[in-house]
Amino acid sequence: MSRKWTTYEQRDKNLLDADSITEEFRSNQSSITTLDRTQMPVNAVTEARLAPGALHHMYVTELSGGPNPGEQGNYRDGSTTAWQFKCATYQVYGGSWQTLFTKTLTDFRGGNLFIEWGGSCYVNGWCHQTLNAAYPPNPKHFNLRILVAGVEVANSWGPAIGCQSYRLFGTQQLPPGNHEALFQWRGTASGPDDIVKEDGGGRVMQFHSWGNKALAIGRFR
Amino acid sequence: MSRIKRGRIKPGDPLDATDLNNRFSDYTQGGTLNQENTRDGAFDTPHLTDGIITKDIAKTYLGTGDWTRNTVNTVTSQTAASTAAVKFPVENSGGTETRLDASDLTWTIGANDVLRIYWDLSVHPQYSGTPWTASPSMLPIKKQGGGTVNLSVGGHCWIISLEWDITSAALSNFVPVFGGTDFTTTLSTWKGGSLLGCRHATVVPAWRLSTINSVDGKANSANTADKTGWYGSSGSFYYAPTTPGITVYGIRVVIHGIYHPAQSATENYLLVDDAVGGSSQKLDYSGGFLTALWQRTQ
Repeated sequence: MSRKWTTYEQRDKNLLDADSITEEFRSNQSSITTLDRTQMPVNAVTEARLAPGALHHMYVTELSGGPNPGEQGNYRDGSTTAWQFKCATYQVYGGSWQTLFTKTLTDFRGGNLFIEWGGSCYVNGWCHQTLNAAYPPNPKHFNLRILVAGVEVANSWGPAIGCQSYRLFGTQQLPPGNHEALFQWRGTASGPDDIVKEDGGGRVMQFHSWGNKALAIGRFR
Repeated sequence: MSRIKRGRIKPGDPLDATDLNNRFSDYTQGGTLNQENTRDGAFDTPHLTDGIITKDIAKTYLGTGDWTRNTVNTVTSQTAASTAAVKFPVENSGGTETRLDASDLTWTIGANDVLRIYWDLSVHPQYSGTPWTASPSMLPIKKQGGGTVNLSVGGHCWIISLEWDITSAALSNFVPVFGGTDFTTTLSTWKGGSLLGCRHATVVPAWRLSTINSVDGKANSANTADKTGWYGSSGSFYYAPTTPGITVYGIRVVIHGIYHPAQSATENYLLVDDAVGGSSQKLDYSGGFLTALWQRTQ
């Protein structure tokens, strides 16, 4: 493939002056610094001709990092008994947003971002309707949201009651930059009557999450 | 850096046609079209050859494929905790595994590649009676009016996990996908898997337990239970190898359970709870899809 002259093609033994050439360059300046779509043949762009990251970049986070990869590590209450997770209990967790893991989207060249997050969670469903909080009830959920560059890209009310899995995804137009994606969770706060401990004093597990992984695709323009 | 980076021609520069035309031949260089060449909508779909982002896609039906649920397959829960997890591959109504095989795949995942796997399956957990009351996981909770009542935290679940065969096209060596536990770890007298190895696993609640009208931190009654109806389960997995070169010949989905949350001194687990197992605790499934994408990461 070669680019075509649009004004006049230079030939051997032509009389040349600098401006005639520079004028051609200037008239096609965008195709000098960036290829012009009207001058590109069909199937001109092959994998071999592309530098890595030219058109897109996928960011894969199989593990969340930290001492317990993929698993919620914000709260790991060790006072739960054997047949429960070490996880968020109402003795240590009050119901605020927590960052489960982060991923920096390096070399994002500007354009469209698709991002998705999958994992599993446990939510204690005992006390969604208690005597003093019956109307309205206080259903427990594992709220989820993805923030990219401080902007919420996706959110979900999240699973309720028992062990369940989730996946949420969203898109966002973003300028160039190394953007940080935050994957956050929030468990519903305790109600006035909630059961938070065993008769023997052991704490009752309330929220946990594991098996988390994320994928983001930047499509650059 | 853009590949087109020659300076402008200045008055007095020596010029000839070959030199000038060479400037416009730069586009044929390999591996140098970068983001500076492709901004501002420089390329449209017709300019791109196949495989720029997606190298290949494979897709197959899972299960019976009967969306009316007149024909379902059934998996029963495990009753022997001291043995490895008993896994049931997802099959069609004739008992043949529904999976991606070597004719669909035989993909060698290289550097700057990613394998993305997605699946969904319509499932229906069922049980009879109150099987959770036999579980060692029951917790004694103070009861309103005096005494205690045993409550289950309601963590019992089925697991649906992904396996691949990266040995040969014969597909006789399915193992959990990269980093996935095989749920064969022994914890006390129980078998299961650490949560650290559960990125390939989707959980489906075996039942939904609550307790109504607790007051001041005390229970008012035993667990109240709701059955889980037909349930849309799904899962995903991404594999971007740090050591490229694995060839994937087959991918399948397996079902096993029933599991319950547990812990060791340092890790959290899902353990097979054989005490709640039995023929009445089962998982029906009908149809779904399994899709794999082989793509370039950049």
